[in-house]
Amino acid sequence: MGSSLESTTPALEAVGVSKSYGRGVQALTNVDARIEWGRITALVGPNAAGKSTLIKTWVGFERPSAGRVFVGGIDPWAERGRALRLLAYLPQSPALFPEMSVEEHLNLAVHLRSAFSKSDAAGRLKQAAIPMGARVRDLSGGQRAQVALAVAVCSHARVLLLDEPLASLDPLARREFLDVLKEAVQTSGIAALLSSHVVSDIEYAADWLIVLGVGRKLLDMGLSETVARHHVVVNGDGDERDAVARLPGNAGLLVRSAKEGESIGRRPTLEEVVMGYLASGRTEVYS
Amino acid sequence: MFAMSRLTWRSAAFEIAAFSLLSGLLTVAMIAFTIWLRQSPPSTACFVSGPVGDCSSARSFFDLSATASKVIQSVGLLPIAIGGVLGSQLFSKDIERGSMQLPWSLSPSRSRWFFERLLISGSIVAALLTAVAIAATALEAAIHPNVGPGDSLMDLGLRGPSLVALGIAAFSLAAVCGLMLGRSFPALLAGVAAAAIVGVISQPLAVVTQPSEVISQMGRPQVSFAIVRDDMYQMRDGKLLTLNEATALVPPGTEDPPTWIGANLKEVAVGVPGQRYLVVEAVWCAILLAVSASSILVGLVVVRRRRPY
Repeated sequence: MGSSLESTTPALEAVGVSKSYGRGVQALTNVDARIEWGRITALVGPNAAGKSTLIKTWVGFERPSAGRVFVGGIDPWAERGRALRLLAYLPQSPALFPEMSVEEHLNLAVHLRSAFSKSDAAGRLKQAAIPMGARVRDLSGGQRAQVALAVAVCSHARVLLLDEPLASLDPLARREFLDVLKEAVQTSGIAALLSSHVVSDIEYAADWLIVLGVGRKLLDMGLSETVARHHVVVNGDGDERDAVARLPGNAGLLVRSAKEGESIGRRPTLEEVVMGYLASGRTEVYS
Repeated sequence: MFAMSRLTWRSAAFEIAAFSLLSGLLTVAMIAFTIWLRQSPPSTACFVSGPVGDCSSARSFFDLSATASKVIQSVGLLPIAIGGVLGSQLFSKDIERGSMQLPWSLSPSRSRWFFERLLISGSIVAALLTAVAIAATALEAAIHPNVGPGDSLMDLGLRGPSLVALGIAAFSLAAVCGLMLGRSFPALLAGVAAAAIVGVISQPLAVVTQPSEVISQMGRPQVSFAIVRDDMYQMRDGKLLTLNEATALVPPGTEDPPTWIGANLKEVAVGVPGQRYLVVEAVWCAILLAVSASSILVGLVVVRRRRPY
């Protein structure tokens, strides 16, 4: 991927993407999204919001029912090979071969992706005290996630698609991974899309936040702006027409400011903003 | 390619080991029978008369060859078993458990992945069956030393290249079933059923392409092992007649038409002579390889379009 292309083309783009499955299941409805280079973009949403489906359309695993997706300007359904060379994907459950050893996975990755660095991956796994000779079926869930992460990160892809990769990691491993991710994004200018439910991880690592709710995009904003453009009002002081949702535990209404700097109630935490949008994704009341 | 070979071995180690053992045992057994039978082959006359009179010493040969024939018969289901089992789980297992997402997201070419996996597992199927096919051909020659295995249609499909070709066809069909269904057990059932149907249909199809010839005259020993299609009547000029046509020739008023037919026409067996073995084998292999190639083409279309889970 040349730098000229990166300056003009987003890392990932979805244009009017809808995806429906049989029996009337609508996973995505007319979603537009741009994931820029040099950023970690967090993708948040309640269960069944369509996060994994959206990610899988970029990998070329799911074909949009309507609209188009692009990876570095390339349509993965028209030119899958070119698109895949740019990205690495980590699914929710680590996609590994249980009978194979860790080292055999790294050898396989070298065979499949010439840019894959076995030494980098081996170094990461050694740091995580994962034995190279162990078979994947004998590893714990967290160790499997580490192996899958090492394969994805060390493929030196320009775009990382990470679908809830941190769920099975312990707090230290999560923080170490996020540090590696931040460094890679800052030094190489790659793009990372991180689907996660853990707000503290998002706050620590992400630059941008996209919230999906029942197949629709609810929020697409920089992280600092997200906090600045929302406030929490209690006891019905705010204008409910701008309300996103009522926060759980009767903690007030999350309200989106009409313009930046406007302050009606108190500043919310990022967690409150995320909670508010997750709640709004479940109900049509404030949408 | 080494990494892919390791993946193949790790994914189907038990199946490969079990079929290697089975094929190895069959091959060794057939080689042993071949050696025993070659030590004291009876004369051609003894094959006509059987183990009586001067040929009574050949009884042990005939007893041994009867057992050896059963060993050859046991080879019959091997191509469908090996091809069906190894083929059906080649892709379905990885789709079923979600592992396919790793190679299909890492490799820029699914087609390359598809062909590499087919090539490695297909080579294993071919290697196992080739050993069995060679040993079975040698044993066939030892059981019938008076007729070369290339001049006999006896045990067609239980020896020679068609055994390997049937295994490859079963493997390709099962692999594509696995790719389409994405589940191991249904793929095994569908793959084995498809391979069995192909096996049952393709052999008669290969034979039917061959022209019929007079194989032998009734009452005389058949020299080569042929596939008999019909009994007919031959005129002095060589023209062949059916029973109805022969009956029509009987002069009106003849008291005993069968006696007249027997006195004036030769009753002959018509079919494909054993000497056409190589041609029949070639046609059958071509049909099976065409089935394999078609399956692989279908698989190539499926592999480009389907989800990896």
